[in-house]
Amino acid sequence: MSVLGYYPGCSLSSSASEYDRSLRAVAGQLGVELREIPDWVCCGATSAHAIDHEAALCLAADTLAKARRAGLAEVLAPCAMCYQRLATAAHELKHNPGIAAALDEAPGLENIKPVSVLGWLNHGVTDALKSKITRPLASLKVACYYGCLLVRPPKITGIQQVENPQQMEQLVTLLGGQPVRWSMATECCGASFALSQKSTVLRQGRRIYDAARRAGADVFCVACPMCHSNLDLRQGEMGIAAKAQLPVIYLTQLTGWAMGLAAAVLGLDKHFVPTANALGKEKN
Amino acid sequence: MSRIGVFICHCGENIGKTVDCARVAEAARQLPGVAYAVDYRYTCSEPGQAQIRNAIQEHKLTGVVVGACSPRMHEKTFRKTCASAGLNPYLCEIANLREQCSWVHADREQATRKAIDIVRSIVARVQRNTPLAPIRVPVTRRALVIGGGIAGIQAALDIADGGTEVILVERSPSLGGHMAQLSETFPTLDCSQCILTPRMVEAASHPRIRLETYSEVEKIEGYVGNFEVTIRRKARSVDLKKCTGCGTCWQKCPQKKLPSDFDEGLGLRTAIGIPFPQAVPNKPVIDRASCIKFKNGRCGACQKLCPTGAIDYNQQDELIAEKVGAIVVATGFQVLPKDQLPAYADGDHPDVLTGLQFERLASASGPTAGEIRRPSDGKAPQTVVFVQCAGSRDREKGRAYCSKICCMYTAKHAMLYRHKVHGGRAIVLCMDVRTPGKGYDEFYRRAVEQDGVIYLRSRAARIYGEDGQLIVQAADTLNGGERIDIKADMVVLASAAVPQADVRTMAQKLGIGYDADGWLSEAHPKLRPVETNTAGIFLAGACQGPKDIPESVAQASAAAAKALGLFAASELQRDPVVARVNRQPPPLFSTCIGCFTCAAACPYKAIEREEIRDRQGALIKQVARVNRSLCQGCGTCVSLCRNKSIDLDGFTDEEVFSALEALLE
Repeated sequence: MSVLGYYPGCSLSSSASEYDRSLRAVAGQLGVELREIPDWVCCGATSAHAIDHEAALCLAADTLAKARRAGLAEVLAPCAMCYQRLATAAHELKHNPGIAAALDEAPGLENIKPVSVLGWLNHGVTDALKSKITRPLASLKVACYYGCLLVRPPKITGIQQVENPQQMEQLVTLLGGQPVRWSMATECCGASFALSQKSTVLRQGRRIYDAARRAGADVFCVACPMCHSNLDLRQGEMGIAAKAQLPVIYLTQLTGWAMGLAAAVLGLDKHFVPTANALGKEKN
Repeated sequence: MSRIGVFICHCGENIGKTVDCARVAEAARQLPGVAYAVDYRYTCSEPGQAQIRNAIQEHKLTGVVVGACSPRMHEKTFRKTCASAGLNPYLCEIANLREQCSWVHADREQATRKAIDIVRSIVARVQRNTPLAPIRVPVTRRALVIGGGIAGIQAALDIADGGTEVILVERSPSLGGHMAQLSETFPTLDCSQCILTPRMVEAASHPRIRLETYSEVEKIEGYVGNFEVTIRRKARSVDLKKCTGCGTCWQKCPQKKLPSDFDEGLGLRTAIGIPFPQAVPNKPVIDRASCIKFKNGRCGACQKLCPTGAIDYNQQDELIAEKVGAIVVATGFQVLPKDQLPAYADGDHPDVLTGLQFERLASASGPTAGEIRRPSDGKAPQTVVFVQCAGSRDREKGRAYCSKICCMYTAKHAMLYRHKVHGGRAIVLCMDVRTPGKGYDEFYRRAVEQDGVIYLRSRAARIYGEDGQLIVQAADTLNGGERIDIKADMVVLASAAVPQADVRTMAQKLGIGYDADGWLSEAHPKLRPVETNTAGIFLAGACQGPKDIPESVAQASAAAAKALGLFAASELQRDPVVARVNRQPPPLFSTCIGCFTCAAACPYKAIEREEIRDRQGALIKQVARVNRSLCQGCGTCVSLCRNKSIDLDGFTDEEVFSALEALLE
């Protein structure tokens, strides 16, 4: 059993608990122990990075330092925002000596590697994953939705084709699904305006929904709690009839489903838009 | 005892501001061997040079040190000055007080001390210098032009008209380059092919131009005046002598559905054929990768039907060796492929066109005979969005530079579209419009005022397909950044001009430089824009950077003038900085033991074997000898020689070490 540092962040401890559950279930199946970083703190995604660059980096760096103290060289951050903050901190520590100098614990901290769920499934455990697929997604048409942060900015994530990333598509194909070609994969869901300007969020969401629908998708696949809540929670408000609504499923849930895990274990029953019809019967 | 003169130049404020030049001259005066030292505001000026000449005569100087700018700037100037006063030019050395001192330091005291150190070092060196004489080399009066686009054609014509033979090598089957693909040209809207084809024909029929189409330069050796070039004549599968260009073969070829490169994938071509009707030479090539005969042995229709028996399936590539004295590189550019811009409809939407694709669409000889019809369904587009800076001026996703030609060709595209689709809407999204050039801004104003082209200051953020149309997301930045989503039937990208994909390999073959983007480097960005850093190799056209037609033609003529200038001399003079194997009196003859490690290491094949024989002709020993014409003075052999039998004239161990020792004093 291999060990991977785990940073759930605030979302996975609350509104995105099904992301957390499905991730732990999948990791268990793959023989990976997720070891939560003791006493982790906020990643600095919400207000901090908009107000004080250095303070935001210090928050993320503090978590990296705690990971190092716990002997963890890699930190899995499933939330796209958490991942982006941790990766930014690691990048800044490496390339901006001024920041490193301001932190007591900085030397060597840049070597603690933040890992996204996408990167982990695509590079870390792909072979193990292949052998565990017992319930392929049976041609499920999937709109892979990255949102704004999962692959951006390229200099931090190292992903060059940020406008047309294909990593999630590759995984969905591996799981037996059919990724659709569509135009909004890396469009912003409007997350930052969720409280202050809901109309923007609804407009963005509707455009994303329309594009996925036009492309013939059965479900959305996401890897970010913000994307998830904006799409899953608000389809009614976007004026979409219940019957026409598209389920929004976490990448880890889809993976777990393809591995034959139960819907309840994966938290698939926790969504606003029901997932059962799209995924089919649990036993087949 | 040497009598060295030291001349410290202020270079205006360039050196004088950071270095106390008077103090440097004063310190130089105290150095052993220095007979005269002085500082002056501009030593390169005529009075400054007179100062050197007078001092040489008055003080009977045996060597000169000029503390000034880099030797790359003025070493030649000052050596000539010395020569005119009767001092061997190679007894003059430059102490670099500008690039290596004043420009890189701020502290006056420290910079002055460093300047004194540099001068002391060079004074020590120059005392060991020996007089040298330039090497004279013969010139082969014949030029090679690489690339048969408008720049290459122009350079070849000018050189040939000047009386010198030219070999014009083009890798595609026909002359013409990108200019042959264009529809109309800005700012006059005259038809590109109509002005180009007479030049192509002229080049092909010129008695002093030899065309080598469908050929590539394989290897280049030698040096200015004496290049040895190997050209690969690719197998056309067609005998050029027998073929009359009648066209029977490509009319009958059953393999008709191949995407045409010349039409940028918008039209179709056959497996045997000419790229376009006015091709020069008007003789076909078989594309072996798609020909049925080459794929599975069947077919053979062209061979059966050819009235002159010109089809030869067994033709092989041929390597031909040529000697030339000068080379003009005119290898051109390409446009940024669509798939490099995934934000624009994932980089593969049929109705998103590159600038060059639109040229083919608008061209009378193009796949639609000049009608503007969109590739996906053949309908005339009612709204076309032209996206400027597609890949240019974009450090994040594209190239940092401005591609220079796109503002003008976009204005032209929009204008042509409005002329051809009446009532159509042409919208240009631009950051700004750059129109420096004769008649250029007038042309752009005409697009706006007479042809009703709508310009929005904006940058397309994303383009995606929706219900048979394209949605262009942008923001109108002159209207408070208001978000605009334009529904378009077709999008034309002002695709960035980028270097040829294999330009680096080409440059390495030639031994010339290129920049980080892949554009070939000129010797000086302002004062030597057509020369490369390799003597005898010149640049023409867009291989050096994005250029429009008039500029490419002008640079081609300039390159031709440079080549003709080189041919005007009966022989060339080269710096005598070459390696030398020492000679000793018999019985030793030389300390060289004949191991020939140097011969294996020499990149220029300049090391020869010399046999030393007694009067009876019996071999005494074999030693290395340097061919002074081939040697480029790189010094590799010097550093490898096990017993220090080789030295580099102008940079002998003695000279270099005395300079170093003086620094360490």
